[in-house]
Amino acid sequence: MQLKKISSLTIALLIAITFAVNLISFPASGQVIAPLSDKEELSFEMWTLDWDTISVDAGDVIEQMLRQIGIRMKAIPLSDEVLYDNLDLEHDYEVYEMSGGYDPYPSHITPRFHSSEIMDYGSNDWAYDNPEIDALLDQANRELDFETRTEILWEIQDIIAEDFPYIPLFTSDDVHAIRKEWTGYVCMPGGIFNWYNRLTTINLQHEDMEYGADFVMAYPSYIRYYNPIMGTDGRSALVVSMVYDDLVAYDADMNLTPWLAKDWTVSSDGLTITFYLVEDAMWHDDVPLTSEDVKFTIDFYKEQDVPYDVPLMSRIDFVETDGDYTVIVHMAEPYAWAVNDFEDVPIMPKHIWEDKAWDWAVHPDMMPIGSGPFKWDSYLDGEWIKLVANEDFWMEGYPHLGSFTVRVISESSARYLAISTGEVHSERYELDTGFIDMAAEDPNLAPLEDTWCVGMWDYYIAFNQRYEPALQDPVVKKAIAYAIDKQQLVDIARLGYGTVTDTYIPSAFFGPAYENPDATTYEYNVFLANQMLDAAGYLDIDADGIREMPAPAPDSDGDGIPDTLDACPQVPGLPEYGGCPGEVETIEELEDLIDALSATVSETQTMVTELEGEMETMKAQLNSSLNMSYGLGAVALIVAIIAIYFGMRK
Amino acid sequence: MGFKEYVGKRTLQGFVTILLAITLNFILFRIMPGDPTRAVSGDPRVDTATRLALIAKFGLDRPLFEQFVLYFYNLLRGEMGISFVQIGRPVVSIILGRKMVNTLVLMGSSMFLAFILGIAVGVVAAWRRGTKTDVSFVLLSLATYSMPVFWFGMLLLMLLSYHLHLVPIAGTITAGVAHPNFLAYAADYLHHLIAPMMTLAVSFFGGYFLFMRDTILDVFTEDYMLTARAKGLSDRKILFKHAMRNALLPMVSLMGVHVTFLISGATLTETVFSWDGLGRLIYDSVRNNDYPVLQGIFLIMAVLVVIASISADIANAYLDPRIKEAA
Repeated sequence: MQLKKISSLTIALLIAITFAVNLISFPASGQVIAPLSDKEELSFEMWTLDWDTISVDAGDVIEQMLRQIGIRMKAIPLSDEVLYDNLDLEHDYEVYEMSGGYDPYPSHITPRFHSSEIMDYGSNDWAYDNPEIDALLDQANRELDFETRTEILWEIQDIIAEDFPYIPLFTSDDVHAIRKEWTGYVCMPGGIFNWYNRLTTINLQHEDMEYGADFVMAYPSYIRYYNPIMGTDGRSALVVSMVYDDLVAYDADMNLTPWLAKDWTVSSDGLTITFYLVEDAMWHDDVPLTSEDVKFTIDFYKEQDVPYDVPLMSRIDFVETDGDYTVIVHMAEPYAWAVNDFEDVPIMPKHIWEDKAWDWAVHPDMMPIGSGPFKWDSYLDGEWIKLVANEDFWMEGYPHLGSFTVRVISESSARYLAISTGEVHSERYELDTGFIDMAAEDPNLAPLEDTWCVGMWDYYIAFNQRYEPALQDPVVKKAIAYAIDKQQLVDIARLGYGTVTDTYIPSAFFGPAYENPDATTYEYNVFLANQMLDAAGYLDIDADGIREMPAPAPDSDGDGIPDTLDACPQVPGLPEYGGCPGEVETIEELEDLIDALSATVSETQTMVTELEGEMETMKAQLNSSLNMSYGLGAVALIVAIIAIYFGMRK
Repeated sequence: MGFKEYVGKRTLQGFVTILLAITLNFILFRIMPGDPTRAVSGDPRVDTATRLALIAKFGLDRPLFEQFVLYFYNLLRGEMGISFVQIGRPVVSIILGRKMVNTLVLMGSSMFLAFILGIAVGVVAAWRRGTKTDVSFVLLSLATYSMPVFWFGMLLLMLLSYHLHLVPIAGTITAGVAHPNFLAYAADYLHHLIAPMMTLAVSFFGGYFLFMRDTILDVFTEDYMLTARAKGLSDRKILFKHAMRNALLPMVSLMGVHVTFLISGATLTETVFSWDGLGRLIYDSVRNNDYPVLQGIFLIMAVLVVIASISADIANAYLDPRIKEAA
């Protein structure tokens, strides 16, 4: 009997938990009001990512370094579930240190700093809100001239380097284990193997076999998608980039180069982009590739509201073709990165995708048909994929390889062993820090210097701008920037295979054109850091090695305006009159009243629009609740069965 | 209570257990920390707009209770949903396919090997109780029993693949090769099976061996062993005809308990050897918060266990009238 009671209790508890979790998971409407910080000293929690040894090691070193300037920055490794949940939804972390990740052009700048990205799942998770930056970013994204745009980007970086939502630290560089008999790979920022590194794909060859060699690469897990639109994660994207072509590609210095488009022009107003296609491209099923396919691809993205490449597609007005090999893209507004973004759009065969949805789960047995240097050959789901060279590839004399096989080896040590024995020839990702020493001495591998390229993973230390006054204070963050020896971080966390980054668009990655000789940077200088904090009033009063928050500024009249800013420190007053009571003219009052009234009118109008929107939502909800009722019936039935069952047992 | 009623009651119990398992399944994965929407988008560099669209596509922006209700509704219609990670792949086809066969083969063969070895060595050790043979086997089995299986797997991999080049390093089959016939395929498959099978067999061996040895030692104290001796039977006959037969019964029920492993697989071993089975699928899915796949695996496992235990109970009841009466 006892047992039955316990099991009934368990059921009740489970149901209660379901409801409780449900209640908690409802997001509170509106912005949470920031609690006033009661922090008395400069002591913070800095979160690092527990599975990422670079993040953890760098975090520990930073903790030590900041002790020298009287800041306690406790490095706490957390699992990515906890960490990302907080960045995406809860937003109440203090400081974190890990990597973000670059695209081949500085596309990260806008999402990381634009205030429109301060939202759940937004990239601006530190809530950096500066209208000046917003305006400059919008301006840069519209500016077609490269040099003018770069100057705007320099200005943006200088402003951000004063406000410091995050401090760039270093990139963990890509050093690859690849067997020494392979040549022809091209070192590009992001690594010798990367989805935008098409030069490696077509040039890779065996030293004794210029053409036709079989290359085997180890993957840590199987690719996620066969669908070229969705295959944007690193593993799928490499395979997609070999089977499908884009209009443009990148060279080793991250300049745009022709690919499927042998040339392109952008009109001076930026509203017309004309691509001239190569004329002998064929799909893998021997259908010629023409401008119709390119037009189809762009229309496909637009018509189906494909959620990828939204910044580009939402700015395209329409596309037309001129003959079989010219595509004219009409933009709705000038967009600075339009051609760069086309590097990310796989051109798809119209004769196959015409009646398909964008999220069509391409079945691998149907052999994904592209136009790229490699053709889909065979696969075993979950274990391996074999691509073979496309004999009819439009670029004469390429690719060199005969076949390219991807093989899943889940465990990192097993991958390394497989490369050492020659069972596979390289792996998809860079060497784990733990294997670098071993690989450097392995005579079967190419020297690490040859495979060492600037990495795409940029590590930074980010400060939540929402709550802590000390973390909003540029002085504290600048002092932290001065107190971190970035080269030492690289030497410890990545054994030297890293590149120190001082700016938000480091020229080491994005190309020398982004190099700004006058950029605001912070040389390692502990003395200066300590002086800055002293001057700003952060003093270690209780001599425990950690600086206290500065005493609040005196405010004799208690009107919330410190005496230094108060024109009338003895009488409580309004901020708009400099802290003085202020005399209000009658006409001004009337004008204010009119302003207030017109504001109310426009508010009412907004409310009406909002109400209309809500009506629509409610209609949609009604529809979905009909569906719900079926399910609810099912659950009720089940609960009833369980209840009856336990009832009958007595 | 009659036999039919007993069967009916057990079936009803099993049904309720499965319903509870479904509920638990759903709740367990959702009270774990971790946001499945990240699994859906996969890449940290994905645009916010893309992420939001994918989240909405999977209904992850809906309230949890609504998700639960829809989950139940879909289960009733026989749908387990589609994987978050391999978008577009139905969960059922991911689980009930090659991965399940791989796991069955690996676990089946290694458990069988360990079982046979455990019995054989267990009998010998028990017979020579207290001798050097016995003590060394007990020590050995304790060592293998307490050894971390992934560590032993790595050592084996180092020795057999890296130094001796005897077995391939990973996978269930040679990559990129079209096999001319089934025999060649099977030979290749078995070649890949050797290392993971050995690892698991060694890790299972200790448990079976110790259990067998203890049971036989127990049997030796029974009166009928004395009788057998008094009858003047040979040692060999006593050992194999009387002691071992009786000791096998508990071994077989232990084996029955372990049948679940056949499905759940050995996560660590499968990962070390890149054996593409359900154990590794569980590991990958937990890491990626792939709820639909996890729910699917655990549901299938729960159903199988419930069916297995009900069938065992019913069979026992049929064979042994005492159980019926007790119930």
